[in-house]
Parts: sequence; C-alpha cells; structure tokens
Amino acid sequence: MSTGESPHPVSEIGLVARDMLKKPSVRERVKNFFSFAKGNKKLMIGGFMLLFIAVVALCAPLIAPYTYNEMRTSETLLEAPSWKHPFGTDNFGRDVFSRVVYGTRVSLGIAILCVGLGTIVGVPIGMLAGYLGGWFDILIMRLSDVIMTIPTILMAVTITAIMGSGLKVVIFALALVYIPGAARLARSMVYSIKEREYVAAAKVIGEPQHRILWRYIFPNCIGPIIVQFTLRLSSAVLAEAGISYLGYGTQPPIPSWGLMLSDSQGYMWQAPILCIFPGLAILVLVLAGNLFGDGLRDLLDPRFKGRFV
Amino acid sequence: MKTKRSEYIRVEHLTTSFKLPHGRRLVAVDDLSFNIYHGEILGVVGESGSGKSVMAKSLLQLVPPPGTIDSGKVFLNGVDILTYSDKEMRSNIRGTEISMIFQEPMSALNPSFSVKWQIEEVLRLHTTLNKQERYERVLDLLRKVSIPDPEKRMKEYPHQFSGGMQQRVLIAIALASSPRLLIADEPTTALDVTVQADIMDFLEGMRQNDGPSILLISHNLNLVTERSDRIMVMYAGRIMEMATSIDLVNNPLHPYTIGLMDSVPDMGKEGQKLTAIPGELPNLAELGNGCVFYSRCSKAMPICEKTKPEPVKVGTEHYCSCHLHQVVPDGGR
Amino acid sequence: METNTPLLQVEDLKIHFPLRRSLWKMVVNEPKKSVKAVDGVSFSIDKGKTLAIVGESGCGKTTLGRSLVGLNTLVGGKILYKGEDISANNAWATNRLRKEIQYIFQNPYASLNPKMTILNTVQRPLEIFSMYDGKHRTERALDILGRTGISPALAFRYPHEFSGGQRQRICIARALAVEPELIIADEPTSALDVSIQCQILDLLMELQRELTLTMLFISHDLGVVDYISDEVIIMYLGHIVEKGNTHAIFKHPAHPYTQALLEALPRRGSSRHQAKLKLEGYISSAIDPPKGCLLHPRCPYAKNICATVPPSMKEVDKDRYVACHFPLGMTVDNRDSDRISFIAKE
Repeated sequence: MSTGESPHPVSEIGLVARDMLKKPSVRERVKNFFSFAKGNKKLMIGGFMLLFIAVVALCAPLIAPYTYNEMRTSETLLEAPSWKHPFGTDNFGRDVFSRVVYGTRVSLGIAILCVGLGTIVGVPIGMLAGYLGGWFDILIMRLSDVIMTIPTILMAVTITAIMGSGLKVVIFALALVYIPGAARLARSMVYSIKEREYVAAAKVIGEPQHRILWRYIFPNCIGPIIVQFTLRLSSAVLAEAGISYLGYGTQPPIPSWGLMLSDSQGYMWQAPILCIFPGLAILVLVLAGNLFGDGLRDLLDPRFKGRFV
Repeated sequence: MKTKRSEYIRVEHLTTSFKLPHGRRLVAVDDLSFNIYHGEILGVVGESGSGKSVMAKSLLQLVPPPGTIDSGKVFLNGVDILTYSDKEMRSNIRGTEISMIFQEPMSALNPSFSVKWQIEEVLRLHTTLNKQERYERVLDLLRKVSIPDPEKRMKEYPHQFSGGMQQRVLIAIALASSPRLLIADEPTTALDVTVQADIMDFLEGMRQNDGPSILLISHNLNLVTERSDRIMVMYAGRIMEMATSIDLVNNPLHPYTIGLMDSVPDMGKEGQKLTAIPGELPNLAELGNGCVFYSRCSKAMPICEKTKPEPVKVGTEHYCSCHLHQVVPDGGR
Repeated sequence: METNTPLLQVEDLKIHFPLRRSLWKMVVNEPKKSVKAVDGVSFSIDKGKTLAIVGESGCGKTTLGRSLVGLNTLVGGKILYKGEDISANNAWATNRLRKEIQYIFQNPYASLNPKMTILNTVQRPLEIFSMYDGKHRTERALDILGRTGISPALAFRYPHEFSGGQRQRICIARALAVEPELIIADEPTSALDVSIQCQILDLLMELQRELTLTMLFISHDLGVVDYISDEVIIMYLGHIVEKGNTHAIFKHPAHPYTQALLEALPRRGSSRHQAKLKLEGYISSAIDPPKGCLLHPRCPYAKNICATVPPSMKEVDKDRYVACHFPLGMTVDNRDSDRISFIAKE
C-alpha cells in the first residue's frame, strides 16, 4: 500500500473533521492540572514551601543583607538576634541569617543535583535491565545490591579518602548512592508495564523496540520515579548535612547548613541560637520535600487512572 | 415454589450516595424499595453502575467511605437494622442473619490460613460450640458443599483448591452460622460455565432443605432468569422492573428489560436476531431529573426527560417504573 | 496462489511453555516439564469467513490467537498465511505481515497507551506503514474513528476519558487503520457491560461485511459465538475436540465436551432444564495431561479405549470433524481407519 491514493477514499467526515480539530492549548491544560491539584492539600502546601525555598535560593543575594563570609570581627561576636542581625552572628561575626539564606543554595542545589544525577543515570540503566532481562538484568541488579549495602556516610567518607574532600566529592558520592535506587524502581516499573496489553498492542501494530521503550513504557513509568525523586530530595539534604557535619563534605566557608550545625556545637552554651536556625532550615526543607512527595504520590494513585503523569 | 410466603426483609426508600471532590455527589442507589421473602431466590440483574453491589453492601452497612446511606429503612423481621450500630451489626447481623459471597473467590479467601481455620472463625465468633463440635460442623459444611475428602482437604490452603472449589468454600463459610439470607454478588462470574452450573445447582438446591433466602446478583440475564423466583432489574441506581421470573421473561414491560432481552444471546432460541441498545451507561454523578434510561430509550416521551417514573403495580408481583405503564392496566395493555 | 487456498492454515500447531526446574531437580536430572498450552491444533479459515475458537479458561485459545501475530513462539507445527509459511520467528521481523494480520485485545482498559491521545493511537499504524501522507493520515485516522462510532471532536482525548465500549471501538479502529485482511479478536466483548456487548458485535460484523475481512473470534461465550461466527472450533486442554459449522454443531453436538458446555449454559427461562450430560471433576493439568483422550477422566461415556488411545480428528459430516471415539448420536462404521464414515443415529 503506497502513499496517496487508497481504495478506501477518505470520506467527507474525515475531511471536515480535520478542519474542526481543536487541540487543547497549553494554557488550557495547565489550568486543568491546577484545578485538579488544588484538592490535594499536602501537595499545595509542600509545593508552596518548596517554591518559597527555591525563590530564596535564587534570590539569595537580594535577600541576604550580608555575604556569607563577611566577618565583622569589629562587631560583637556571637550576638543574639537583633534588627541588624535577625538570626544573630556566629563566632566569626558572620551574619547567621545571610548564611542560612545562602545555605539554601547549597543544600537545595546539592540535593537536586545529586538526586537528579542519580535519577538521570539510574533510570535508563534500570529500564534497559528491565526490558532486556537476562544476564544484563542480573548483572545490574547485583551491582546495585553491592552499592546499596554501603551506608551513605561510609560511601562519602571512602570517596573523600580517595578523591579528597569538597563539594564535588559530596555530589559524586551522593549521586552514586542514589543511582541503584532509581535503577531498581525503573526496572520494576518496566517489568510490570512490559506485560501490559498496550505494549503487546504496540508490537502488533509494528512499533520498533526503541519506540516501545520510549513512547509506551517510559511515559508510564515516570510517575513513581518523580515521586521517588521528590521524596529523596529530603533525604539528600539530610545526608549532605550529615556528611558536612562530620567534616567530609562542604568545606568552610561555604555555608552548608550541616556545616553550620557542626560549627555551632562548640558554642552550645554561649549561643545556643546558633544551632537552631540551620536546624530549622533543614527541617523546613525536608518537611516541604516530604509533603510534596506524599501529595504527588496520592495524586498519582491508580484511582486517577494515570492522569497527568 | 411456595404459595404463601412470609416476608423476611423489607427495604424502604433506600438511598446511598458517594461524596465526590468539588462538592459533587454520586447517587449509587436511589430510593430503592423491595422485599425478600423467606426461602426465595431474588435475582438482581444490573450492569456496572446499576447500584446492585452498593445495595447489597448497604444492607450490611458495609458501604465504604466516602459512601453513606443517606436515607431509608431496612426491616428485618420488623426491626430497622439501618439503625443498628456497627457493633450490633457485627454481632447480630453480619455472618449470622445475613451472609455474603463474592465474585473472586481467590481474593475473598485469606491465603494465609487453612480452609478449616477460616470456616471455624465464623463459628468462633457467632456460636458457643466447643472445639470438637466446631470440627464436626466444619466437616458437615464441607460435605454439604460437596468438597470431596473433607477431612484431608480442610487442612489445606485456598491456593490448593480450584476456582469452583474455592467458591464452595466461601459458600461453606457463609453458611456456617445458618444465615437466613445469603447475598451472592456475582458468585459465578469468574468461573467457567461448567463450574458455574454446578455452583448454581447447589445454591438452588439449598432451598429444598429449608435453606436461606438468596439474593442473587449478576449481570448475566440468562443466569438470573433461570435460577430466581423473582427478579429485580436495576439500572443506574433504580429499579426498572420487578416481577416473577416467568412474568419477566414472558411479559417484559420496561424498555430496558426488553432491550436487554433483545441484545443478549440466548442459546435456547434458534436463529436469534439481536438488537443492541444504543448509547452509553450514564454518568452517575450527572444524572438529571428525568428517567435514568431516557437517553437510550426507544420509547422515550417528553415527560421521561423531566420526571422520574415511580414504580407501579402492573400485575401480580409485577412492578414497572416507566411512564409508559403509569396506568394500572385492567385487562391488559 | 490459487484463489481457493484458505487465507489462514494452521497445521499441528504446538506451543509449550517450559517450566523452570529447581536446582535439585536439575541435579537429579528429572525430565523437563512444560505447560502444553497448545498441543497439536490444525484448522483453516477461508477468506471472508468468521471462525470462532471456543473453550473455557486454560484451553489455549488465547495462546493460539497470540501466536498468530507473533506474540508467542511455536514449538512445533506450521502456520500458513496465503499459502506462505510464517511459522518461523523471523517471519515477524519485518512488518510486512503486520499490515495484513491485526489483533484486538480482550481488555479495552489495558490495551490503549494511557499517554497517547486516541488520534495518535490510531494514526501510529499509518505512520509505521507509511500509508497516505502527512495531512491525509490524520483525515484517514479520523475517518476510521468515525466509522467505529467515535466522534472526531474527541480526537485529542486520552483513553481514561472514555468508557469501556468506546475504548474497544478505538482499539477496533486502530486494528483496521492499516486495512488488514485478517483480524483476530480475542474476547473483545468479555470485559464490557452487557448492554454494550451487542453494539460492539454488530460493529464488528458490519465492518467485516464492508471491508471483506476475515475474522478469527476467540471467546468463551457460546451465545456470542453462535451469533457472530460461521464456523467454530471447540478447544479443550490445548486440543481441538470438535470443529465445523457453528449452527450445526450447537444444534447437534458430537463431542461430549461440546454437549456439556451447551448443557451448562444458562437458558433464559423460568426453570432449569435437567442437564443430560455432566462432566465430573475438574479440568486436568496441562503439564501432565491424561493419556489417551484428554477428557476421559471426566467423561461419563468413557470406555477403555478412551484411556489409552488418543482419538484422532475424524470427519463426521461435510466439513465437520470430531476427535472422539464415540461421537454422540453416531454409530461408527469402521473405527480403525482415519477416514471414517459415520452414520447419524437419528
């Protein structure tokens, strides 16, 4: 059957219908999505919190009155909160408020980068493992088993020992930690989807393998993958805080919240306020991530039969 | 069939609905009224959305949230059991007076416990039999539902039974405390046709020995007409027609009933011509004020779009909710 | 190709699914076991006809159907399409066959990609086979959707916005988009509501007439099969027990299993007819099927020969075949020969 002429001439309906086709505009679809999401409180609250934190991170220089390593030894050290220094100052005379604000960039940035890298690398590997099966699948799964048995902190410490400490190392170590989890999830999603009838239907109409993976399997996997991503942001923030607290992660003067917590330890009696604010910041970000992730997971419940994502 | 029967359950104006997001309400069962006699098999024919399962669950107050029973009364031997608390339902009604069996026997049985344990559970909860007595009763029940080699098989687990046998086990569990009503919600839909006949033979046979009434719910029109004494045809939460099975088959009055009969193959007849009912099942959240079948009815009249027809007696034990039959015929219509 | 070669011929088709052996069994060298889903099935369909395959669960009908579109691999036997042998796996490597043989799946709620608009779903086959060009493809897709009763205004909607019956129509449109010659419909109405089933059956029959399609209709519902098919094959445990003209078989079944199926069907009426033939027990295992006739453990008419000798397919009437040593209502002329003549008893 070649192009053009057909033994079944296209009927009037077909020609008229094509002119009548109205694709729903992007605006309409976004509107639909929001009205749908509005019902879900966790999602909205978590979403707004994350949005707020993201704005803070992006506009840090505009919000923070000082830079994060401005040491004003001439002024009082370890000052209590005042109008000039809403969160007080630390042992170096640096404005804690500014450090927390700049720290948003560090914590959120590292979290997104690490979990993002882990997901971007892990998901394709997992999908291939799930689709191809056989020895490739076994190999990947055993490799991921190995990586998953190593505790996060230990992994970071080991890599630091090999590669030296610093921001790049933390990111690399955490990304490595998140790859197996993403791969496993993608693999199990592919396993469950590749048996579905619409995948068989795709084969029957002649779809090539790569298209089946990309257009039929992958779009139906991303729901849980996104949920996992958002929930892991919180754990990444905590992990980074922990690693930095131990001294293996971000080095001073970069204002990692974990590092700030660690620094404040020595001044617990003199200025307990120093550990409250970074701690609160961690709490807020983790809470936001969890709320948003939970809400997203509820939204994507099979009840809604795969709408939107 | 018995000539004089006493009424066991009477349902009056039962309405159950589900709360949807954005303040909408889905009415699953709308102003339902019917009765069940002792020892009869009352068949309920309905498709998805007809409200048949929600109705059954409403009788047992087992409607899952966000569903609620909005109004109505369910009289059992004169007492309105819709006023019972959950505790009272559990101790007096569920499993004792009224039992239920479901569509997928494998899902309804607990895979982690032996069949014996699951039947005994009912006896433990609702009887005062001692261990030996319970054992005897379990054996007796398994024999009653024709499970071969009951002493050996009672110790086995659900997955070791075939689909038909699992359903029999479910029936045994349901019968354990001698209920007066057995609700069978699509009991044979998941089973092969030969097994189906077996199970239905058994259920029908129970009547012989002063057995319970059966509320037989199915979408299979032929099955229900073949096995029931009386039949209720439900659509979108309302009863369209209710009659004895003979009457319904020989003299269907409601356009939906007639439409079903015309569109479902019946092997008993030769050279059948089928006519499909046009249209789709209605969206229960967007029902208008008129007859629920209006959009698909070939005999629709202007009044059908505006007002819901009420059930009218059109013959002995024959009721029809249709504007075509609002006048009681004298001498036939 | 001669003009009266059947469109599809299946010869002694076998599809077995091997079972994994435990380590112990491998060490002890126990023989490999497999589920004999389809075990020696032969039939043919002529162009323009509808052949139904009927059986209960586990008889192998879906496995058989799927093997005809390359979704299952054969262990033995041949499939001939228009006289050409397509049994090998590589027959499906190019898409050539897919343009001519299409499939409609059982569950309309699962056979559409939830992430593709229905227009895309129906258009994809046209793109894959480079049929029409650009704009005309959309027109053609809308056209065929319209023919199956789906309005073009719904083109950009997603499957979840449609009811079961509508989804099945979309699946039918997808299958017909490439103008195939043979359609295999696997229980297309089983998952649908009762009042919709007839609509879909009528649609299929109408489209078949319009487009001169040949249809293989798989079902467990004898009533539906009676309505829609010209010829029928009755399957049990991977074998054919009876095949031939639908009405003739349903009126005078020759195989005890067919009789039992018909007897077990609920009839619309006010009282139960007494079943004349009831099968005992339950379906045997497909891993260790019984020797001799597969039905003999359950057949009330079984004799000694049934337990030892598997019955071969014998012609009992013009184009009617039964695999039974004692077909109902017939006396056998000469049991030992393959070409046996039966004398109808009545």
